[in-house]
Amino acid sequence: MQAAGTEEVRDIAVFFYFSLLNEKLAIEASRKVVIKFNNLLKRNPDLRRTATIIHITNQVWSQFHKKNSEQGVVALNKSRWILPENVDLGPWRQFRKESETNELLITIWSQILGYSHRDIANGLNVSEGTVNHRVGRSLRHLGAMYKLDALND
Amino acid sequence: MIESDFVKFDRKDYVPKHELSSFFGSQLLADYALGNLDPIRARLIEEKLRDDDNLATSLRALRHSINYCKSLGNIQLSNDVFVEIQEPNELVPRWGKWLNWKKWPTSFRWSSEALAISIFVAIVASLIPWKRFLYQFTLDQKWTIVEVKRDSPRGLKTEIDLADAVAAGGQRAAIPKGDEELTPEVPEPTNEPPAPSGKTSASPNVTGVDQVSVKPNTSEQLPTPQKGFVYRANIKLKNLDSVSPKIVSLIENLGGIKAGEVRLGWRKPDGSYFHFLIEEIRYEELKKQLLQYAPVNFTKDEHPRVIESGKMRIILWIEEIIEPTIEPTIAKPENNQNPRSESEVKPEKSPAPPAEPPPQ
Repeated sequence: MQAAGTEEVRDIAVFFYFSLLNEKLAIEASRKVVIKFNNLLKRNPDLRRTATIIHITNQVWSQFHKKNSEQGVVALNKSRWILPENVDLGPWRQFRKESETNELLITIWSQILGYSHRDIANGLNVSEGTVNHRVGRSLRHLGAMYKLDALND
Repeated sequence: MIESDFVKFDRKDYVPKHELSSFFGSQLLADYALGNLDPIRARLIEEKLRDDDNLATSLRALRHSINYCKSLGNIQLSNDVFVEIQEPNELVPRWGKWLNWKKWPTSFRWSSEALAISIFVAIVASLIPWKRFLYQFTLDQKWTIVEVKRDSPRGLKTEIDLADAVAAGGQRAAIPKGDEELTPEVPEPTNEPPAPSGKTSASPNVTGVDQVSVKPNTSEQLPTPQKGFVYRANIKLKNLDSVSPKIVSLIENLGGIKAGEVRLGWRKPDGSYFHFLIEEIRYEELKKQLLQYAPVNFTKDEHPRVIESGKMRIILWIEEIIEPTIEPTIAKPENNQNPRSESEVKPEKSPAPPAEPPPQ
C-alpha cells in the first residue's frame, strides 16, 4: 500500500483550484480527498488510483461547490499557485461561469490533468463515449471564446 | 453482383461515396483536434477543411483552447500548499464533525432540540411579568370577614364563628371594635351585591358588626400603581321599596351621578344597590341624610380604579329586613327580665330576636 504521492496530491489540488477558484476551499477540499483516498487505499490497496481520485474528487467537489457559491469571487494568491507566463485566467473564469458542471470537471480531468478517458469513465461510472462527447462539447464551448481571436490570426 | 463497400471493407482503401456534411464535420472536429479519429474520418475532415473556411476557423479555436488547457495544467504549486494538504490539522476535522449539527446522531440531536426548546420556554416564562397579571386579578377578589355579636335573652352571646369566615377565604380573623362603635351592619358587597348570608340576614337585631377587608398576601408584595379608593357602606332597612326611591332622589339632589352599569337603587331580591360618584364636599351631608334612615358607617378601601380628585366613589348596599312569618318566642334582650322565659329559650336554634315578656 502506498499513500497518495506528490503527483496525485498536486492533481487533486489543481483540480479543486480550477474548479472552485478559491484557494482556501481548494486546500480544504484537497485535504479531505487525500484523507479519503488514503483511507480507501488502506482498505483496498489494489484500487485503480486515478479512477478512485476522480470518483472522490467528484464527490467532494459537490459538497464544496455549495460553499463556494455562498462565498462568491475570491482573490487568488499568485505566489502560491504559479501560472505559466502569458497565461490569463480570464477565459477560464468565463468558461467556468458559463459551462455546465459535467463539462467543467471533465475538461479539468481530461485536458488540464491529462487523465485518460477510460479512467474518467471508470471514475464517473459512465461510458467512454459519454466522456468523449462531453470533452468535445466542452472544447467547442471553450473554443468558441477563441474563435474571434483565431479569425484574426 | 454489385460489390458493396460494407462487404469488402478495408479501411485503408475505403473511400466513402459522399462528402462529409458541415454538421458532421463540426461534430467530429473536436475528436480530430484531439487525434481520436480513425484515419478514414480524419481524411474526410481534412478534405472538408480545405473547402470550408468556417470549419477551419473552428479547428484553430479548438486547438487554441486545447493548448490553453495544457498551459493551465502547467501550474506550479508552492511547497506550502503541499504541506498544508498533506499534514492537515487533525483537530479541525475532528471538532468540525461534532460542530456540524446535521452529523449528530439522531437521538442526540432530538434530545438536544427538546432541551433547547424547554430552556427557551423556561426563560420566556420567567421573563413574563406574571405578578402584574396576578395583581390585576387578585385586586378584584376580596374576602370580608364579619363578626356578629348578638345579645341573647339570657345574656348569652352568639357569634358567628370566625373560622367559617376564614375558611371562606379570609386570611386572618377580624379585629372587633369596641361596643360603643358597633353598629348594625352586614357584610358589605364588593363590586356586586352580596348573596344573602344565612345567619346575618336572618337576624334582625344585630348589635355589633365589624368588618375588614382582607386581601391575599400575594397582593401585599405586588407593585402598587396609582391608588384609587372606594367608599362602602351597608344599611339594613324595612320597607325598602318605599325608602329606596327616596334615597335615589337624595343622592341625585346632592349631585350624585350613577357609576357602573346599573341604575341607582338597582333592586335585588334581598336589597338595593347604589353605586355612584359624589363630590367630596357633599359627603358629610349625604352621611347625615342617610343617618335619618339607619346608622351608616362608611369604610374606605383601596381600588385600582382611580377617580378624579374632588370626587368620591361610593357603593351603598341596603339590605331589606324581612319580617319573620313565625311569631318569635324569644324575648328581646333589653326586655329580658323574666327568669322563666330564659329557661324556655333555645338561643342557638332561634335566629329571631327575643320576644316581649309575658304580661304579669
